[in-house]
Formats: sequence, structure tokens, C-alpha cells
Amino acid sequence: MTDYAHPEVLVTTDWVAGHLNDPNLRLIEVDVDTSAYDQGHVPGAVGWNWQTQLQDTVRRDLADQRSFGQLAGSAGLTPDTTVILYGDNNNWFAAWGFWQLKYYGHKDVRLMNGGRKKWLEEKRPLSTDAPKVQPTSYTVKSPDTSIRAKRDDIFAVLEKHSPAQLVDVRSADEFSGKVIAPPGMNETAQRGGHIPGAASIPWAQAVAEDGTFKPADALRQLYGGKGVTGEQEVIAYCRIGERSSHTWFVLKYLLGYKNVRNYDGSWTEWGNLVGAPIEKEIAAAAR
Amino acid sequence: MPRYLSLHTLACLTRQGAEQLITRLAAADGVTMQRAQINMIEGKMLLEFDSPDRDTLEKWFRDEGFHYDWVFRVEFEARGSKLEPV
Repeated sequence: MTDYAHPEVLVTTDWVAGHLNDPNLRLIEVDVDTSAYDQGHVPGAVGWNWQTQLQDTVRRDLADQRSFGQLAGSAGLTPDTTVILYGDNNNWFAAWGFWQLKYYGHKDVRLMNGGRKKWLEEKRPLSTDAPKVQPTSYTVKSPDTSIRAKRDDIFAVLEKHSPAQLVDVRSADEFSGKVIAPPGMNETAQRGGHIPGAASIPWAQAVAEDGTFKPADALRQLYGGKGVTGEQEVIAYCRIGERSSHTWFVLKYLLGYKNVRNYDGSWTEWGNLVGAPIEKEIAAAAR
Repeated sequence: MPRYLSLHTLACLTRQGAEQLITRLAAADGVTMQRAQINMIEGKMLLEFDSPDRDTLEKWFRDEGFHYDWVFRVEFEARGSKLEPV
């Protein structure tokens, strides 16, 4: 598939349509809320709610191991299940689900290219039936911290203890600090701008108009042109960590960069941290 | 009543967030939202309003926390080949 480093993790809508009845396969739709899923989903897909099931609902953190294990078990997953994720919102939250499944050690996880939108545009069948699921007892592995960055990892970069490169995947207006949150929303960060030294490479530059990922050559030019070549570790961030998980997927799996982490605290953490350095001018490339 | 177009940067507005936003826009007091057009990949939303004047619309944006890229008053429009004043 266009020379991606790991083509096996990206499946087409066509492929999904032809494998709906595979016994060891589980489709999961990941949305901000599951109202779209309830109105009609890919036949056999389970629906996961990003807000209530893929996060800790008390403190700001990922779902803990126990909760994630219960969620995976309720979807009928075993360690050998092939999980295909898709969702609305340009697969942002499906990519987050992918990242979290990898964080908790699930082996075979894939993303349906183009997401829910492509499935609908191609007028493929939808179902409102609850999928047949045999719950399992799913044991979650210890988290793979090599794919997750925390704020101390960012400070290590800024203090030159780590050579990692930072990639800010938000829009140009967010990067410059002109905008901090979606229109009409409380700002959710005290300050605007970006983490010093970050390269501005908006997530949307990695996809075509239909939401499918651009070919490998185009992606190499996009990131390589801004000095993000994969020779050093890359840490991607956005506002709340979901757009950056989309970019994490691109860098790690489509381009095959060895060390890529998602800073899920992202700007809603950094822009509220007392004393955290902030930059507003735009550099030509990553430092 | 004068008509205005405004462009807004979405940041990470989701489809679900857009639905809630549209509900708020539809209930706006003092200005009337006629149409909203959104592209999530471009990250932009185009709105069309009827408003007594620009100041009223800009004040509504400020009060509601709706940052915007630009606002302009529609003076003429063409649907088809004939340009007519609005």
C-alpha cells in the first residue's frame, strides 16, 4: 500500500467489507459520543465512547489497566484478536484507540483508512443491530511507556537532556497562539502559543480530502521537509492528544519512525503549567 | 437586514461539538444565523448571519467567545449569472 513502512496496519473499506464475518476479527467504532454509531454502524462493530470509556473519568488520564481490560473483554477481545478501528471525526479518536490498544500491548491493531465517512460515502451497508459478542477475560499487559510522553519528557527536551524533536499538529492559528480552543468553547488553557522548538505540521496535511492518508512519498516530504526525519525520537502533541495520536500513527506506522511518542497532556496541560516556557513565533523547521 | 459572512478556525472541534455549536448559533439573540458550512480537514467554518450591523455581530462573537478570522458584509451576490445587491 503505497510503500508504507507497516502497510498491514491500514486496511481499506473494501478489505473490511470482505472480512466482516472473519471469526477472529473485531471491528470497533470509536466516537466522541456514540450517537452516530447508534444510528448505524459497520455491521458487527462494537461502539466505544472516547470520553467515557477510553479515559479515566475522575482524574485526567488514560483508562487504567483494569478498566481497559474490562472494556476489551466486553468487546470480546482476546490477545489474538485482529482489531480494526474506525470512527468519525477523521479517525482522530480511532487513532487514539489504536494508540491506547498499543499502549496496553495488544498485538494486532489496524485502522480503516478514511474512517466512518468513507464507509458512508461509498454507501456501504450499515447496521443498527447490537453485535454478537462473547465477553472474555482480557489481561492487559503493562503499559508501553515508550509510546507515551509526559510533561517531564518535554522538559527533558527543552533542557537538552533529550534530543527528541517536538511536532505540534494543531492549526497554524493555534500554534501561534491566536486561537486556543474551538470557537465558542472556554479557552481551556491559560496561555496560547506552542512549546519552544516545536515544528508546526498540522495533522490535516497528512491526509487527502476524503480523510485517507497520503502516499508514503508525500508523507516523507511533509515531515522530512520540516526536519522531522525519524533519526531522532519524535514527540507529537496537539490540544488534548487525539489529533497527535493520528500523527503518531502516521510517523510510527506509515513512515516507520522507530521512536515516536504521543504527548497526550498536550496543550491543555502545557498551556496551564506555571512557568512552562512558551513560544509564539514560528521557526522554519524543527530544532 | 444586512447579511454577513464570517470565517472561523475550528481547532479540534468535533462533529459532535459542531452540532452543539449550531444549536447555540440557531438560538442567538440579536443576530440570526442563516447557514453554517464546515470542513473538518481544513479546520474552518463559514457562517452566514443576518445582523443589524457589524458591531452587533462582532459583539455577539465576543460575548459568546467565538473567535473569527474575518467578517464581511455581503453587498452583492449572484446565483447563476446575474449579480444583484443583497
